[in-house]
Parts: sequence; structure tokens; C-alpha cells
Amino acid sequence: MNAALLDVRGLHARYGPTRVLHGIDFAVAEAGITTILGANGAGKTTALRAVCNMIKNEGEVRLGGARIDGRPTEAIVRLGVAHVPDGRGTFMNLSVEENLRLGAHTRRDRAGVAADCERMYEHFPRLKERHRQQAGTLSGGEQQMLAVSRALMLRPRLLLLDEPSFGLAPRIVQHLFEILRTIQASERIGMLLVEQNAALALKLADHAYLLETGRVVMSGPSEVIRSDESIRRSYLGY
Amino acid sequence: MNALLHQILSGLATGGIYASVALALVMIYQATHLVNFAQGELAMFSTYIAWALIEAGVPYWGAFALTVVFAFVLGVVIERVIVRPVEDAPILAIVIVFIALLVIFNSMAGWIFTYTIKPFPSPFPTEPLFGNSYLSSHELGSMGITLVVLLLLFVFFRFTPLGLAMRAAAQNPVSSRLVGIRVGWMLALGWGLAAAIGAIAGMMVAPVVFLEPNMMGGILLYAFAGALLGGIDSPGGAVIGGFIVGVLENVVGAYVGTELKLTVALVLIVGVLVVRPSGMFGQVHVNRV
Repeated sequence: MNAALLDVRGLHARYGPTRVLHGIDFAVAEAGITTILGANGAGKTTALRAVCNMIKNEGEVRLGGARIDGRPTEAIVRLGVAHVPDGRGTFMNLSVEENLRLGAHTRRDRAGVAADCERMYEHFPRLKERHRQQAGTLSGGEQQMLAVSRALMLRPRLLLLDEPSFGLAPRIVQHLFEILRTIQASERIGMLLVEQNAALALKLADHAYLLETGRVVMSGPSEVIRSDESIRRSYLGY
Repeated sequence: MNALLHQILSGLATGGIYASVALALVMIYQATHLVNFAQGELAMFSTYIAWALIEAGVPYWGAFALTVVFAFVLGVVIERVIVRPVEDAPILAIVIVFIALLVIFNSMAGWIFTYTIKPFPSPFPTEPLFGNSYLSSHELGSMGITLVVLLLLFVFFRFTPLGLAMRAAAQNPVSSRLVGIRVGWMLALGWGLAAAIGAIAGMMVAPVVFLEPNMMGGILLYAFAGALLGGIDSPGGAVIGGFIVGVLENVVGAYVGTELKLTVALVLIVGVLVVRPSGMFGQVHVNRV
């Protein structure tokens, strides 16, 4: 994969003494969508956390060619890496609108931020209806929309998505993934998607990695992985 | 009736001091979930700096401004140098650090400025303002300054991006880093602001209680009571709680007896907390999962 937006080599990570990742390689192409698939406990969430240095990790992480590993999380975010974290990361006691404004914390173009806020409300009218409401009172699905919107408010180069379909009704998942595709196409944002819903993720992504207990056991274009029946049966379970 | 009104108004004046210190306590509490026992001593020490500046011939308002800046920097430095390294330590360790700060600043003030009680000037005229007979001009003036400080803080936290980022950093540091907020600096800034608010409260109360190293002891206790009464996680509640405690203290002192005022005030506070453990205005957190 030439001209990779994100290039990760030999990534190790651990929680205390428990090693979770054993030197994995993966990449996201410029304006590409890569998905990391795997069962519970395979290390998918850990891989995302390691990319933005939220946990102890070793290995090379390059963004647009430049090393970013070892830099503080907030510095990596300032380079244009937005993260929809596991658990959604909602600021529970702040209003919906304040959550969106925080997403654009590092931006200085006030007019652009206001316009982007409106754009998010167009994508997710439910958020507009509730923009003054305390974010903690939103339903799980609404909080997930808020988490995605908050991350997009950064105008990221790379968007890390940790199970965006988690806890959402199928119809809402469809809607969310359509919006992700539209945004990716129009703004050429690279995305790294971690999903349990493999069928869904493979449809959206152009490249896929299969993670099993902290090691990459398979990787390749989504097309190939999707059409290989034995992989589908043994790893993806559909 | 007039006497009662007088007691209430004068209670509001001291209540403003409690409200300021209570707000400073709440600001640190929101970020650390701990009460900064040294808040009062920081205010006292800053007031000594103001006294020294005035003694050295600096005009009152110049000394006032310099002291606020000094307290702000002191708060930031304490957070970065002393509190930061114990951030992840067990709660008891942090409590010990706060108590150590209390003792250190108390003895430092005694060592540098001696324990002799000193008069501290009021910036307001000695004759009552506007010919009113209820409040001295110092009471009226300090109430005005308290209200201005509270209003400025409200506007800052409510309407500025930096204020929003500080609230976010205190509530949810992990998510704050993920949107690029420099959480460490936000916490340090919070300490600076809390110390600056305390310094103003100290300078406003010193003309009344006189300046000495233990002058903030009782005030910290009342402020803490006010913060608990209003809700330790609610800045607005803490401010209102501070005012209520001030009025209670004064009214009870006048009608029940000075020796009982602390008791009665605390009994009322305990009563409120039994009925509403989160305080009068404390948020009952609503989280859906």
C-alpha cells in the first residue's frame, strides 16, 4: 500500500503485565477505509487505543509518513486523528451542542465550526432536536451519532471508529454507515474501523485485517476476504 | 424588623466571602474529587502578600491586582509541581499532600510575617455609602466585588471556549484528550483560578477579621459547609449555599447566641444533607447506557 495515511509496524501493547498485541502491522490508505475484524478480546480496541497512544505501546506508527508513536494523545489529535472511542466518550453533563463544540476544540475558524455544527444536525436531525439537552440523557443510538459527529467536528484526516454499530438498531446502523461513506467520499477522510459486525464492515471498507488474540492472521482487500468462504466460515461466522 | 434586616444584609456580606471560597473548593473538587484543605491558607498567604505590597507603598488597587496575579501563578505552580506527581496516588496520599500544604503555608506565613495580628486596610470609605444605615461601606463594597467576580466566572465558564474546555477536562479527562484538550494545563488553570478567587476573598475579609496566619480557618469551615449545603459538585449551588450559611450564621448569632451559631448552622446543614445527600442543588446524575 503506497502513500499510506496511517502505517503501523510491529505494534505491541499491554495492560499492566497482560500483553494484548504481539507486533501487528496494518495500514490505512489516503482516503481509504480499513477495517480490523476479530472476536471479543482479539485486541481490536487496543489497536485503536495504541494508535493514539492512550495505552502503553511499542512499535512504529506513522501518520502521512511522520512518526507519531510516543507523542501525547492530545498532540496526535491535533495532527488530525479523531477517535470515536469504545463506550462513546460522551461528556455526559454537557449539552449536545457543547459536546459538538468540544469536538472542534483545536480549530480556530469560528465560522467553519458553526457551519460544521449545522452540517452534523443535517446528518442527524435528532441531535438538532436535542441540542440543548444534557448529553447523558440521550439514548445509546443518539450518543453514538453524537460521538461520530463530535469526531467529525475536528475535520480529521484520519477517523478511528470503535464499533460504531454497537447497540444500534439495524436501520440506524444503515443510516450511520451511509453517512460515513458519503463523508469519506466527499472529504477524503481515511478511516480505521473496528467492528464485530463483519458483513457490514467488509461492505464499507476497502481493506481488512483479521485479528486473533493479538496477531494478524489474515489481511487483504475486503473483496477477497468477503468472497473467501473458508475465511468467512472460520473467522467471521456468517 | 429593622434589626433582622440588618442581620440578614450583613450576613449576605460575609456570605459572599463564604460563597467565593466555596466556589474555589468546588472547582478543585470537580477536577480531583477531593476537598483542597489548603484553599484557605493559600488565600491567607496571598493576603499577606497584598499587605506587604501596601506596606511597601503600592496603592491599594495596584496591590490588589498584583496579589490576584501572584495567587493565580502560585496555584498553577502548586498544581504542576506538587499535585501533579501524586495525581494517580491513593486518595489518602493526596489528602496528606493537601494537609501538608495547609501546614506549610500556615507556618511560612507565621515565619515570614510573624503571628502578630495586623490590621488590613479596606479600599472603601469609612462612612456608610448612599447614607444607608444597614451596611457599612466595606460590607457593601466587598459584596459588590464578590458579585462581580462570580459573574465574570459564570460568563467565563459558560460562554468561552476555554471555559468549556476546562469544564470538559474536569468531568471527563479521557474524552477531553481525544478532542485535543491539554488536560494537564486545564487542571493547572483551574488551580490558578481557585487560588485567585481565594485571594480576593482573603483581601475582602481581612479588614473584618484582621490579618493573622489562622484567619481563614473558620472561614474555610463555613465555606465547606456552604459548598456541601448547595451541592459540592454544583458551582451555582455552592455559591448559594455560601450565602445561606453567611445569613444563618449572622441571624443565629444575633438571636440565639454567639456561642451556638456554629452549632445551629451545622445542624441545619446536616439536616439538609440527610434529606438531600447531594445538597440542595447537587446534580442527581442521569446517565443512560
